Amino acid sequence: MVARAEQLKPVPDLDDPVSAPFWREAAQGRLSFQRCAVCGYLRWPAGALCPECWSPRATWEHVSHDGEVWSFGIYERAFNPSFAADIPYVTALVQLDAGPRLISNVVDISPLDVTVGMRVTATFELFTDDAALVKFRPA
Amino acid sequence: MQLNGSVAIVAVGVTEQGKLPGRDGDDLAIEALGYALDEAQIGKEQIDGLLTCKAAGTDAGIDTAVGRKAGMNPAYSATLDYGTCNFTLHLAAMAIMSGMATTVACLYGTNQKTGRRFAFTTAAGDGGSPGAPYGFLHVSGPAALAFRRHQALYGTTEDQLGHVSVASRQWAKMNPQAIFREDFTLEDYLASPYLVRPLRRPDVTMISDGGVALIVTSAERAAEYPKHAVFLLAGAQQTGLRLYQNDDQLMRPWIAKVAERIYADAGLSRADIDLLYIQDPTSVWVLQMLEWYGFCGLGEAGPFLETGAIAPGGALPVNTNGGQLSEAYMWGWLHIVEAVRQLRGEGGARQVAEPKVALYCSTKGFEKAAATVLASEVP
Repeated sequence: MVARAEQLKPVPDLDDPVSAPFWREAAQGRLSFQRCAVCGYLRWPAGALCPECWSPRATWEHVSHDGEVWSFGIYERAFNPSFAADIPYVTALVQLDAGPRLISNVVDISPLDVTVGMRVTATFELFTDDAALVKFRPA
Repeated sequence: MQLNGSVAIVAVGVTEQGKLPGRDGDDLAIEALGYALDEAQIGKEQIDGLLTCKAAGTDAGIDTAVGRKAGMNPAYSATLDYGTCNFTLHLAAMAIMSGMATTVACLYGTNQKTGRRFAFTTAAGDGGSPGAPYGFLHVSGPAALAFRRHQALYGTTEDQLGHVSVASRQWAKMNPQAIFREDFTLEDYLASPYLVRPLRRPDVTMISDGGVALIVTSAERAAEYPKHAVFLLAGAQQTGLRLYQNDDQLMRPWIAKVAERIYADAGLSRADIDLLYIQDPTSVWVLQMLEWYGFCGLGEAGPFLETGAIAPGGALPVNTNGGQLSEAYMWGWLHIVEAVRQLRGEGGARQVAEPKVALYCSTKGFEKAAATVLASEVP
């Protein structure tokens, strides 16, 4: 059982009712965040309270898919064996035009061609039938 | 926090460092305390404050368990959930100044190397933006992003960063306690494989087993101890707990606030610092903190490192123990031990000439920063 678990990539917890909508929206091809119903702050990571005004009230809002690479690194070693087949892969902090900053992957480009400041747009990768990771590709 | 030398470290204890199979972290911490008590020439009954530090990824370091295992009933005890020693040392100072305790033992012990192995696999990004599903694992992930950003903004090169691990090794070669003492040149650095490009294996700490203890007391009581006391002049902290909600979080610009406070509270400037210690899970921490603490300008750490300033014989001795990159991984605690030894003149072959003041800077990941100024004399 343990050995099998180690083969599987870590995936977001879809049993968490607060954050699950992010991944469900992504499966529909939408990048969405909680918009605070009181102060308008766009919340990331998903949370039960607004970190600005502490209101629990929020609605999920579809935002622009575009942003830029704040920085990135190229994994040349798999710290978890489930990523071994992906080496080398790019992880990046993406500054979205909408405001939030996401840790993600930059795909559909040779890792050595990625640059800081590069414009990117979201692309979605299913990890279950109805939940997806949000990755980025050159815009 | 202005301390003006009212609190002092009067003893240190360190176990063997490296692979210590079969030992657990609490056992190692208690062994280290035994050495510190020997140095202080007191018994455990005279310790009325016990501060322990949890070792990431293990069950070790809970004050209630350590007190039971060590057979101690101190007046005051507490656990900190994270290392680097600065946070523990500040709590010890506050306990002494407030009267909660007079004589505080600060302990850290871990078997992360041979026990339940710790590999930083959850350290990257979780809590800020879920990273594990994207393979954003291990401290070298965020450190690589921080360095790449520095490169893009300031033109810093991999060769320049390589001077950090090379200098660490040059110091470590003079430290019999250090685990990595083999020759290591810039050519060796550049020939090392990448972990997370642009970072290489030598840019990242080892993992090791061991224990460390400090005994802290008031300046008045310090005079009664056999070893030359090392006095705390000031301590300062700042958090960045909002993580990726903050601008430029991986650059940790809020560390500059610690710098401002620590110099003001110590009544010193960076020119007064004879010895600099920077907790170094990766070499990037050294690069960042040299800048935030003003030892070079923002963005200028690359050229500064290239001058050899932090290596033996350089203008600014940094991590004279070899740091976590070459000495051992005690989550920053051995940096304080080394500062104490240097300020006492016990640095052996690596002793810096007559140091008076040391600055120790550390961070708890990308969430908190702290610094302490230590001095050989009360000003």
